[in-house]
Amino acid sequence: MRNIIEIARVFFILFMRDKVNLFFSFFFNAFLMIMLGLFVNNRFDEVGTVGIYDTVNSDFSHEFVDVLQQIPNLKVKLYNDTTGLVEGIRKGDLVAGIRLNKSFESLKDSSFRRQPGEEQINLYGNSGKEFWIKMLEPGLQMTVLHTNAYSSKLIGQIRIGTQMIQARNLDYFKFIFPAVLVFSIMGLAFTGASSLLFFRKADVLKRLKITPLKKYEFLTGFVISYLLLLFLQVILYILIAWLVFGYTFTGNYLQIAMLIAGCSLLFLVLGIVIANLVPSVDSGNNIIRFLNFPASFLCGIFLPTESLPRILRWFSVAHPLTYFARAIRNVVNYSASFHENLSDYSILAIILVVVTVVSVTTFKWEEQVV
Amino acid sequence: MQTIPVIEVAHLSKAYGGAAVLEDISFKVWQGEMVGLVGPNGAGKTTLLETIEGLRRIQSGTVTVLGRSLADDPKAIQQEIGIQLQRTSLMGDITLKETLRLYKTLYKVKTDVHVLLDKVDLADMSHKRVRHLSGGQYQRFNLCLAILNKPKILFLDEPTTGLDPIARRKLWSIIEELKAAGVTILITTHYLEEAQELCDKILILCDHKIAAYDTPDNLIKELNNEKAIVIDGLNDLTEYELIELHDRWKVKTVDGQYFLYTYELGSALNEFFHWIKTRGKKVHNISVRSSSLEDVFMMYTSSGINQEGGAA
Repeated sequence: MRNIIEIARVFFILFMRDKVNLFFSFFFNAFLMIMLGLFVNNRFDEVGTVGIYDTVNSDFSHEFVDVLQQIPNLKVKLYNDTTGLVEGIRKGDLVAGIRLNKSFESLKDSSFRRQPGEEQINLYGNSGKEFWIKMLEPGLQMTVLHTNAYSSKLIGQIRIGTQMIQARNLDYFKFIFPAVLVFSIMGLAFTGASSLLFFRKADVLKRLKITPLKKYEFLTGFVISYLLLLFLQVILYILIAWLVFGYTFTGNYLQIAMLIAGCSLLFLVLGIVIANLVPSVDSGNNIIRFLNFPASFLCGIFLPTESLPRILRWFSVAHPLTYFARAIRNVVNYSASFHENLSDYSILAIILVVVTVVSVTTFKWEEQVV
Repeated sequence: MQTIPVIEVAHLSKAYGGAAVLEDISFKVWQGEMVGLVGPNGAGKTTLLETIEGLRRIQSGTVTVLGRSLADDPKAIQQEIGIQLQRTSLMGDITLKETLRLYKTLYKVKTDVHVLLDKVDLADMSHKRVRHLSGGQYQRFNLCLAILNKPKILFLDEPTTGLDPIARRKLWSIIEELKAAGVTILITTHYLEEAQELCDKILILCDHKIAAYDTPDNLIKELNNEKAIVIDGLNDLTEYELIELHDRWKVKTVDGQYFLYTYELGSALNEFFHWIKTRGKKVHNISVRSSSLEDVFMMYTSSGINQEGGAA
């Protein structure tokens, strides 16, 4: 037991003293999570700036501009000519430009009927933000009606009740956080595999081989050290999620803890298997990169797996991270029971048993055993 | 008189990919002996040492260490032996003290960390990280790790290679102290003069076999007190002259130097000078010395022509 504790202690210290490793393993994913959470949270929260050139300059056109300015997602900027308006779009300052032509004034009459000739409103679109044009085209129609209604004091006569429903759709941070947690666990676990590869290559493990230290003692100590690091990482991320985004878990805490522990163990052991079987440090790191990087896109971490093309779904089916991401999301966001996740747990349990057996039987102290 | 050797190797053979690296190796080492393992590069010294240490698999033959078969329980044997490998690394980002603590935990028999570091003259560096050690300090620290369990047998694989003369002397003095304390030592080295001075026995490996195994004095006596005339700068010999040289005297060639062995120094020198004069040859330097372990080594391992007789 003492040997195991000592090995765990040493690997823990080694990791904590490697400042670069510490930063990228602990803080990089947290940084990514915060950035994505803050800036990609809800695309519909995006505010667009629209330029207006009012050639009419009447009470009606002013009221129209006032109504536009009251729309929450829109900022309105006034221009004095079409050239400036178009230039604003070209520079990317505006998502669209609106020119109110002289014939716009005729719209104030609610009995107005369309006449051939000049458009009342010209809408200039930013070709890189077509979405805004699609929104503004009908939106402007409604704004004219609204302005008419506003003028005729109909506004305020209609009461609208608003009620928020807790839906299956999550806001983006709630969607990504549980999966980022398990993704980070995988990343740190594979960092452990890389260190094992390095120490084997450098004959550090060979020096341990000629001591009374047994294989299982070394592996157990190594796994314990990284489990402790993973535990610290999880605590840190949960704290950040709570402090920055007010995020809290809603599911069964025991199940959540079991998922996190199981995820940590599985990827640690899988990392050991990779380190045991690859012929060199470079090939090991390449395999780890292959498992790591695409997983962020293909295992349901930042995007739902349902949105993947069929041809890519094989990767998500084959990667254990997919099952962890799905299970933890179900538990923390939808309070799924153990039974509801049983199929995912069964698959993961089988994988864990298999990789554990393989990791112990294939472990070697040296690159070449002769 | 000792009856049970601490190391007994019997008919040990090993091959890598069909190529023999050890062939029918058999020898014994007794308690308190220091045995030097010498041989040309690729002779199998490190393979032999690492097989006895339990690092390499035994393919055929037997190895018994401290009365126990290595094949049965190598981990139990490793409790009582100390090993310094030829090439190994330690974890660079932990301190000397932390490294000793790690390795100390793995053994039943303990030595005080400070006493150990003091023994190898690294007491004031206990809080330094391993990667900050110089070459000589690193080797001394490796030796420190090898002796922390108070081993009965110490295996040292080229412990002084790559060190400057002062660092080498320092390390050898530590090894001498261990020997004086009764530790059995098996050491590989390229420094034959030190092996001759310090080792009780020399085992010469050549072409994967034992060429000789005896005390340094006995090995040198095999040369029958021959003197060695060392000739530098004898160049531009024709093929005929080369054959003639080897026909007339017992000659070895190493790296362009000629070693001429003779029992009768005076007449050999006269004859040789006459020979080079009549052929218009020149030499840069000639020196004479008594036979040494180096000569024994060359006799067994050199690729030069080895012929008896001639004008000795």
